[in-house]
Amino acid sequence: QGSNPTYTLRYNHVLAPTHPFHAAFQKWAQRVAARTKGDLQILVFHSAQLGVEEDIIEQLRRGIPVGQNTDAARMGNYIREMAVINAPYFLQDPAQVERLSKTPSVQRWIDQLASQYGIRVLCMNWVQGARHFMTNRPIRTPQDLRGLRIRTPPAPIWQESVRALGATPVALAFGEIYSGLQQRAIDGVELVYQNILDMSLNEVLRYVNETQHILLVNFQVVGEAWFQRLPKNYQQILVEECESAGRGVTLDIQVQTAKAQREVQRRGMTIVTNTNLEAFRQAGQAAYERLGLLDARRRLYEEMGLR
Amino acid sequence: MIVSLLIFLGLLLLGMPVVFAIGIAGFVFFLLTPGLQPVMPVQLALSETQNFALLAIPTFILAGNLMNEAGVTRRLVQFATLLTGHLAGGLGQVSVLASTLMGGVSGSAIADASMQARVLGPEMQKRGYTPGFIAALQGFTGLLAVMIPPSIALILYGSIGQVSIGRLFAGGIGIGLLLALVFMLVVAFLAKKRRYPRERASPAPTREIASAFLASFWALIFPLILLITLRGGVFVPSEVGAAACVYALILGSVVYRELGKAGLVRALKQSVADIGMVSFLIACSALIGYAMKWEMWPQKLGQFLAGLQLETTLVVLAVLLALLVLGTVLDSTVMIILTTPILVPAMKALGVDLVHFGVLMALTCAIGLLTPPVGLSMYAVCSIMRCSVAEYLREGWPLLVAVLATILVALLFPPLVTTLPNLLFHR
Amino acid sequence: MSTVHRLEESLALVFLTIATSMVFLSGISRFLGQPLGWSIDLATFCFAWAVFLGADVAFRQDRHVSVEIFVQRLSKPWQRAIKLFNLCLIALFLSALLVYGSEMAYATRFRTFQGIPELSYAWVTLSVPVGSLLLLATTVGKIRQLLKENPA
Ligand code: NA
Ligand code: NA
Repeated sequence: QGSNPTYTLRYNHVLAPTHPFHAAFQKWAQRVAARTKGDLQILVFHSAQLGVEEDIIEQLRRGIPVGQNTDAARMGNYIREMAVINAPYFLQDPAQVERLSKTPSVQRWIDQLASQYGIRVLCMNWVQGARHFMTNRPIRTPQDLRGLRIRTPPAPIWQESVRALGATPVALAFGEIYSGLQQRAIDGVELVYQNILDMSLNEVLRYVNETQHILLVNFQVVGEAWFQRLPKNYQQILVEECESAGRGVTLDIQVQTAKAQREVQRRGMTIVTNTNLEAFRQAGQAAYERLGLLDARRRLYEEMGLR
Repeated sequence: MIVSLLIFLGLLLLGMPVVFAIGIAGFVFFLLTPGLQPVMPVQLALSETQNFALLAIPTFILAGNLMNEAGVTRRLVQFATLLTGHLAGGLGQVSVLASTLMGGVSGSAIADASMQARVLGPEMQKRGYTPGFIAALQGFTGLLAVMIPPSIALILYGSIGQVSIGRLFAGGIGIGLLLALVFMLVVAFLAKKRRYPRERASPAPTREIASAFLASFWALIFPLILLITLRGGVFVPSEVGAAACVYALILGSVVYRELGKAGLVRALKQSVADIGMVSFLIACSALIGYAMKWEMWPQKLGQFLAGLQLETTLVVLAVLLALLVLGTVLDSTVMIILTTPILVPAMKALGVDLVHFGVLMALTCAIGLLTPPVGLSMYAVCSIMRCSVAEYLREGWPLLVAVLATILVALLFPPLVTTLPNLLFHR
Repeated sequence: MSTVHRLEESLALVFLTIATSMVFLSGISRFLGQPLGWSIDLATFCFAWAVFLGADVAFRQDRHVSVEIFVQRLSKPWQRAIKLFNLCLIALFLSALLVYGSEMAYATRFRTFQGIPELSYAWVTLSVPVGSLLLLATTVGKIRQLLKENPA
């Protein structure tokens, strides 16, 4: 293996090193290094070590050799309609994500991100799993969420989604979650299972309410200018291995979620499973209406062959 | 990166303001490194000001200046003088006491040190303390804010290293109180040796203390009120500084009626210059910070330490020493973010108590804020007290020795840290 | 004090006041169950301007710390020459920040604040080149002052 790679990519993500995604990124890096005989090297930075997401995306757009694990809400800053992927109950399972990624609309968005904004999407099949509400009282219907201050990322799609589902969204930095909950400055969060373990949230929260309101799909992005500097076969290896690692970790997380559920219970939390999903689904409609995403959803569902 | 560090040291020796020496050295890295661009420093420096958690620093600086103008300081000093005036170094003892109380509301050593240098500094100077000693005392007692919860450093360590933040907070209390005690002993010793003046010949009569307590009641319960708003779920730690500003404003304009428009403007002007110094430095430090992250220096160090084949306590000692050395140039927050994920698994494998280690690590990293050549807290207090770093070192080294001794004691006797968390949390 | 300096300080004052008020408001509004989505973004926006304007206020008051123990041992002419060298280097650095800061402000015109989608990030990026320009003016002033003084 060459110790002097021609190409080095520094890859940043905001998740903890214990999150399954981190191992998957490292596996991706190993596979790419093996197939390019060490000529294309990926260095992985967890916990946003390299910087905040917006800054990294700004950097990669300028052709700096960095990459970022991101989501549809963030891509929605560039192409407004893309945010729909982050709307309540838009996707049901990882299989639908694979189908979605092959639709003409999504292909067009990806081309537009590359040509107009300098963002190259390597793949979008890394699924973190379903987001649930985590609170200190059981939640079964949207009414139960009324008046609860739930921490949510600040982007409009997140805020409107949580509002539509009945709660009061609070924009709070990721790092303030624990102390905010401990001091009752917020009443709850909406996250995936793994986050509870990563941040010891079982110390400050009592219930995981399985609302499954958003299937958290992540995008792997690098700079288009940097991507075009790579030889064609390296480009192919980079994308293929990214997709393969994403498929692997998505499966892995489905297995690990069961483990996480047991661990969360062992640590004293109660899992509420009898949530009224139909009522939440109905309530979620308001987010599509308020953000003008009904057309986008209809078109994507048609292209995916749903309904 | 080596080139940048050499440039930084060179410019530092030439007497260039530290903020520009850091900025220029960092900028050179972006010029020399293939793949990077010279526009990035702009983005990175700006990004520091867009971090909500860092707003605790300017708001606490403003709160300190407002309290000066509001008459809070004067009352606290009067009361403290009555209470400890008969001791040698009474105002020094007050500084330690005040930091212990403020530790319960402030999570940032820089904010606490800046505020107290501003609040207590002028009064101490009037009583004959040298600016160098005042700067050092306020800087080092600021460490109490890191140990006594809430603590930004412990929250960072706990959330990255997957260690219970509740236990870490409980662990910080023990070493925090020990540190306060040690500081009081050092102040008493130095006061005797350096002949810092007594405020009065004999202890004040109880009646006098009681009436002074009533006169300065609102000023004295200031930390308590902040604590209530924090515990009561009104504010998160980053917001408490702003709450302190509002409280000082109400106290000065409604209760004491000492804060007029002129005083308010004076406090704001003072704060703008203070913040322009401290926060601009934090912004420019981001360039060097990024350079180190880009070259993965902290990770490489972590791997090296994991490779040492030594006894557990010795490894922890070696790690703390390394952090101490690293802290002379790196920012403490950056160090915690970068090394926690490497050090925690290594410590876990060695069987070290992660709460014990985390508390020691947070304190050691925070010392980096006070040691030259780069120490943000040190620069802040030296700037406020208008003293040189040399003077600060000459007058303040016993405090550094005291903190290091405390860490060593806590390292050798883990129950000092772990008793309270084990008492409060099961398992 | 010139008009520019007074304006600069007044603006920094206003930005600091708004930033602090917004932080306070964000806590209070959340406590009352009516959290404001934009208060944090407005606070950091104002904070950036307060910092980069305040940096010049601090520079004019000679508040930026330096390590002078080594230079103090040199002869007066050497001290003067080194000071001049430092100031020229600082001027060069600030010019670079001014140029690249302006470029960055233009480049970030499509990026918006997360909580305030109507507010372009360019408006906050602009605080860097504006602050650099003011610092540059102060540096040039210091250089001229130094050249005017008689070498001892
Ligand atoms: Na103090
Ligand atoms: Na504290």
